[in-house]
Amino acid sequence: MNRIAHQLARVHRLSVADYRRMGELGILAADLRTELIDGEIIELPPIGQPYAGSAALIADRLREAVERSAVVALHEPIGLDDHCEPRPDIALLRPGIDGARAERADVLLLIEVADGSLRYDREVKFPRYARAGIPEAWLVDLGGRRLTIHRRPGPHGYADVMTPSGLGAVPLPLAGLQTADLSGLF
Amino acid sequence: MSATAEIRARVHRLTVDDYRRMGALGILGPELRTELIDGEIMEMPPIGHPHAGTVKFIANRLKEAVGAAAIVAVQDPVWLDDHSEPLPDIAVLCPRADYYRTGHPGPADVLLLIEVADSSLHYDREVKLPRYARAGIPEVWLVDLGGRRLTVHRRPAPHGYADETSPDNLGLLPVPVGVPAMVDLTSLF
Repeated sequence: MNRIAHQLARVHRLSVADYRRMGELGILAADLRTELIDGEIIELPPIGQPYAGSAALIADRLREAVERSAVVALHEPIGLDDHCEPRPDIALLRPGIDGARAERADVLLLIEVADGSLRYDREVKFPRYARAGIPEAWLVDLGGRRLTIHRRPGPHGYADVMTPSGLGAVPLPLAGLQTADLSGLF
Repeated sequence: MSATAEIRARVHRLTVDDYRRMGALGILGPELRTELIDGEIMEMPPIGHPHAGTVKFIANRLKEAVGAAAIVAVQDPVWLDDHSEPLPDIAVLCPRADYYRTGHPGPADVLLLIEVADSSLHYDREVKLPRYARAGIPEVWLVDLGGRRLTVHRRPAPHGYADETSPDNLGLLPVPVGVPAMVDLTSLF
């Protein structure tokens, strides 16, 4: 029913600053998992399996591969612009940002692990990652047992989408040309 | 239009209490005209003069017609349920000594709501009226400025008003305030 409302009137868009204050003031409860997308507060579903285990596996393997050359963050908010602060499943960040809130310039790679959220990740979140200039994003489709790598961000999405030939040595966007071993992911 | 409109099952719905706190704490600034509809904050368009003049005309005529039998409020919040607090153009309310200083009126306080629609006709008709009906608001008048037409909506039900009429005579409209009261809206259009 509210879809009609969206077509007929303007939904008020919150800024990232508004959204953060709502969290600090308890208007958004601490136990609520949310992200801000184009000024709208989106609720994230409860974390279930195999989603959680898959995200943990990827994060672990990434840490082994990157060692101290990057920071691996799980479910941390990333400020993309004035109205977007998503919470990607995994973020690979430039070293040295520990403790600070990550902004888009800190991001080397974002990874979304999709179970029920595939369309939302692909159609809502990835175009916004591309628009913000996030250089690379991976989509892990648990249902389809498929990893896609998205590169060359533009205003409307990623121009390059490819599937790696194997999961044993997936190249990471780091100067040292490290690869991640994701065998056993699916 | 909202970017997530296509895939929007998970938009967080604010409560009326959240929404009022956002106003009190300045997260929603005083320059904003908004209403809360099903937990989402909707921005109201700037008020044009045909709309504003029509609202003033109706509100003044109504006040003359009802006297002390009701309070006539203009563009004030009325809460409907835990997630909706719209700003109807005109609300005719049960009289109360404190004039609702101690809390916004709710469904039980409302005798009649009036929406004056210019560009907002579809929004008023398809979004707001069904919610007024669901909350049990007993009567709503919809004034369609473009179509030069007034419709009276009665018999609220969960999905809308069961009864919609277009009065023949704008000069003698009964106002549902519990005592006999007629308003003359002859020069409305």
